[in-house]
Amino acid sequence: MSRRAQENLVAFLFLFFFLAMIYLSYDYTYKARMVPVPIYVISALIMLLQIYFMNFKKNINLNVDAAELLTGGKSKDSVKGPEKTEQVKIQKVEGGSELAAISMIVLYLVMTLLIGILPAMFLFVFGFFILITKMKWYISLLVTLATEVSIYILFSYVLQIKFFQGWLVKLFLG
Amino acid sequence: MLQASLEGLLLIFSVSSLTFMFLGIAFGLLIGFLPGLGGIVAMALLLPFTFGMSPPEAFALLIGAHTGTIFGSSITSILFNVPGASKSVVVCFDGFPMTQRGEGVRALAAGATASLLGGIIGALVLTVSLPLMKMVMLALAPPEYFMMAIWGLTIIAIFSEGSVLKGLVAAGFGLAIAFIGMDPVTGTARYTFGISELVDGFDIPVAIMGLFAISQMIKLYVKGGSIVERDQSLANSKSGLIEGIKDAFRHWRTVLQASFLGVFIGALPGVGASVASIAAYGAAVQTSKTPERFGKGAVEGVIAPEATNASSEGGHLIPTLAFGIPGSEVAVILLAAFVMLGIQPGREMLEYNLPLVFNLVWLIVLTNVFSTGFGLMMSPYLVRMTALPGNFLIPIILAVCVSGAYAMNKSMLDVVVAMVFGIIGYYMDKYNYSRADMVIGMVLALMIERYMQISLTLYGSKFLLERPLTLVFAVLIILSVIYPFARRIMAKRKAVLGG
Repeated sequence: MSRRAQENLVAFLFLFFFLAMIYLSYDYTYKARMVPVPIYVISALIMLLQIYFMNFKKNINLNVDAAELLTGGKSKDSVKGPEKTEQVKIQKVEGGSELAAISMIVLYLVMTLLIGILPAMFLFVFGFFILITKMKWYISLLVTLATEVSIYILFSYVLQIKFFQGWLVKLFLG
Repeated sequence: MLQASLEGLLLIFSVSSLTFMFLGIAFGLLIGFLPGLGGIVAMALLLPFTFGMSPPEAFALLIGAHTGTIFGSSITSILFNVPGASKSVVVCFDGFPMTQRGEGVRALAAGATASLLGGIIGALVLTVSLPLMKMVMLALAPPEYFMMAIWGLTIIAIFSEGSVLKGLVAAGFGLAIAFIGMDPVTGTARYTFGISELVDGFDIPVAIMGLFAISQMIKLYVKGGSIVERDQSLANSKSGLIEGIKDAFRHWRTVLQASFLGVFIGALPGVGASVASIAAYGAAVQTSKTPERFGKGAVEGVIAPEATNASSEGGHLIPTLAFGIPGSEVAVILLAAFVMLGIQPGREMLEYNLPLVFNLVWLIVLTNVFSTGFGLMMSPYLVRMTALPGNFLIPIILAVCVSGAYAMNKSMLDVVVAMVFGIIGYYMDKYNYSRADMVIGMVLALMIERYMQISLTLYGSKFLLERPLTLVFAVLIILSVIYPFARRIMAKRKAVLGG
């Protein structure tokens, strides 16, 4: 997907968000929506303006600098033609790792919800060191244990916080 | 007064008070390191231990812990883009780019020195202004608070990295996120989709943790390598330290301006230190000759919020000591300590317990001196952490973030929120929608809505025109918005005329 298409996608997501919030606001009383609605309307209008500039103004490409607009110039930060191709190339390299990074975050979250904070932390940190950092298993284990123990001491012992145990643990052990 | 001041100072110099002060600073630094847990957590945890202590000992422990958290959270903000507390988020804006440029030691040293100077100025202003601030505080009403929040919004343009429209959208998004939850006036649960946990809204520190810390880890994973190259991070650490100290004195005007703003905003009950640091940052940009450097690693961008964060401590104490009205959440804990120790704040305290008031003033100064000393000593070593491989730091920081997010309210929803905001933050950064603008929107939303509604109820729809002070604020806002544009146009004209 080209950079422009990606920018448009993000812009339309924001626009959809603001429009949805305006629609939802009419469920509430006048006082409760008095401040939010004007803010959503203004934000949606700004987003439309940004979409217009991104797609229909050739001299101001992707980023619109208000100061430059007011002084009648062209944004120095705007993305120009050649740089754009460069960015698309970089994007392709980033794609895989980006997906991996997001998947990793989601996986860690799911593990935490299922088996609890401390066991998930152990699996995640140890697994990360072994699979991604490619550290030797005993060094990985040592660093993981050090992290786990430090967090346990700080949060559970000093701050007296009882960590979440996980849905599976609750299901099987009650 | 001089005698009371000396007596207050002498109260600190007992073995027990000094010990509790150092213990407090060490504990505060530790808590400050943990994302999301700020001074209030440190003080709340220590409060039960103050039972049975003498007032100077209890204050030494509590003030020490609070000052320690300020510097502790600055370290993680500057080195890892992980704000320890919401008021430290502004420090990230320029502190982290400085670290990425290999100037982490300089940023830490400049921040620590500015914090020291801010703390001293805050304490001095507290001493001098106790009788005067009463008049100022009584003169301000909800319309002026509303205008102050609007002033905070005017700095959005600064962080927009070449795209003010995207910056405004990001701020609108932040405001929208902050509106989720209970309406402060009508008590209606808004945009919660029936999820009862959302009635209280999103916890701002949790969202900030996601937006900055988790998104930074995703970015680091995608980018590969480390935050800074090893050679770069270790080179010039000694000169960086001296340079950083010099920076704080070189930009003395920024320090003074930020410190006074910190005391003033800190003294206003209900206006948090986050607002003060945003305002100080905005003022630093608006008065800078080179505002375009801000957000990209300008040292003044570290100095201003650090000075404000430290000086606002003095500010928070003004209403607490003068009227018994806590100026912040931290002051609430201090007020609880007063009650536990049998001290009645207000006129009685100022008349009959003046040495104790000065004891607090001196504690602010001394705890700042010691935590700054520690900061300066440790910064060349701390900065080495940024040269560690990203793949080593990522799982550890993520693990700390998950624990920190959960610890905030003991809720798994906060962990989910932090993770979701992490992903949102990553994409916002990638497509140049300023995360800083979003945070500003989130921080100011409640203040804008609350004070606008109160102003409308009290003064009607013409509340902006009813009060002269509000009009003064409005003029100041217009001037501060126009000034950067006018200066740019004038500079262009000068350049054209010059050649």
